[in-house]
Amino acid sequence: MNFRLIMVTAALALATVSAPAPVMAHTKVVASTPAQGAKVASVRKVTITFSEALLVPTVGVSIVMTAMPGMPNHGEMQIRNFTQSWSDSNRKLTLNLKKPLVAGTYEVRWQAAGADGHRMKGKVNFIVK
Amino acid sequence: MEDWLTMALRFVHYALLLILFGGMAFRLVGLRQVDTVEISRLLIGIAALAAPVVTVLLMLIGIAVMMGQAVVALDWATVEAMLFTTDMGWAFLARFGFLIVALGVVWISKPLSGVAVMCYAFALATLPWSGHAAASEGGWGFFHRLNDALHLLAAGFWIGAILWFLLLAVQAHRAPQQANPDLLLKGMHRFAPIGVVLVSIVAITGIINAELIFGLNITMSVTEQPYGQILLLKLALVLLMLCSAACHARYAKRWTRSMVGETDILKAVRISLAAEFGLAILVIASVALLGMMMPTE
Repeated sequence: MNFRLIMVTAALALATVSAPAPVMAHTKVVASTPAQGAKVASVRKVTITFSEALLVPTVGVSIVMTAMPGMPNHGEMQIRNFTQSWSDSNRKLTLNLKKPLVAGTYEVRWQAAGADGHRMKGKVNFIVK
Repeated sequence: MEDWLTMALRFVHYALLLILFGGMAFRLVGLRQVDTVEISRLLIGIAALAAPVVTVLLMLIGIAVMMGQAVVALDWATVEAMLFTTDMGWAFLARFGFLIVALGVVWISKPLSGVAVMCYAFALATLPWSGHAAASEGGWGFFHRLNDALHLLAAGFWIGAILWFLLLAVQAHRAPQQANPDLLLKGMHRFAPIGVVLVSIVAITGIINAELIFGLNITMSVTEQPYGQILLLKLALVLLMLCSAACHARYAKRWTRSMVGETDILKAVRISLAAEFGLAILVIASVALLGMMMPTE
């Protein structure tokens, strides 16, 4: 009986050799539109895809305009006219802007905890021409 | 400071749930034939009361850390969103419910009962729904959480057995006229094959956990990180536990063959059991720490 139990659990252990092992690392952005560092003509929607599903109530996100053409002393300006939605089992965040972003340099700042409870933060930069 | 508080609460939480489940389960299943020491009803009641309090505190601190806020700054809307819209929150609610039912059974009915054992087993089994096992997704994620639950239950039963044998050994030392060393040592001898099965389950489910958390193929690089080093320390502690277990299994075997005297054997078994229990406490501390670390940068 004991031998059989050990064999069954050993078989389960061997089965994990073919299992898709999720390599644990900190939550990070794996894709975004606009892409990191991109120069784009117009932005009405920003999407960020994360490496793992996030705990939605822990997510904080902001869009900040950090520079504006022709205004060398332009300070940081929060863009507030957007709504958030989630898809792909809480991996993909979409920020829908009510108006297209005007020309300038932008930073999308995020902080969130993954399903494992670890909190991370990061940012995505892009330029609207 | 907050990290140390979280670490301390995680340790107390694991220790309470493992000992409440393991201690009660082993008493009911493994010690039916053996006279046992009278454990204070008040002591079990306090542990049963502390368990839901610690689980609530840990959940609130966890939410605060995840939100990047101080605990006192949390509002109900945030707590409610975490409790009712995440798997972690539902697991906490289930755990809290089981612990409250167990508390009622322990205080109102009797301190050692099958219902309380089941409640503590289910409460322990909800723990993988937060932490590293919660990050695995899909079917493998569910398997990962079940595997982790089995790991905790087997470990809890093992620790419960050590605790009872240690209490019996201490009683035999303090009140030799009341104790029956023959029952203790024969009980330990009978437990040996069950112990082998428990250790096998802990080892195999532990390997599966490692595979599903970081992948065994990158074990060497993980051991270069603080997470891997704590994991190696945990493995070393478990190996030392096995050495202690082998020692008192050998003593118990020699006793059954009447090869040694009662006083010598009881002293050796007592020291060996105390060492194994002390090591188990250190293993629980390492588990509490590992859950707060990432295997890879």
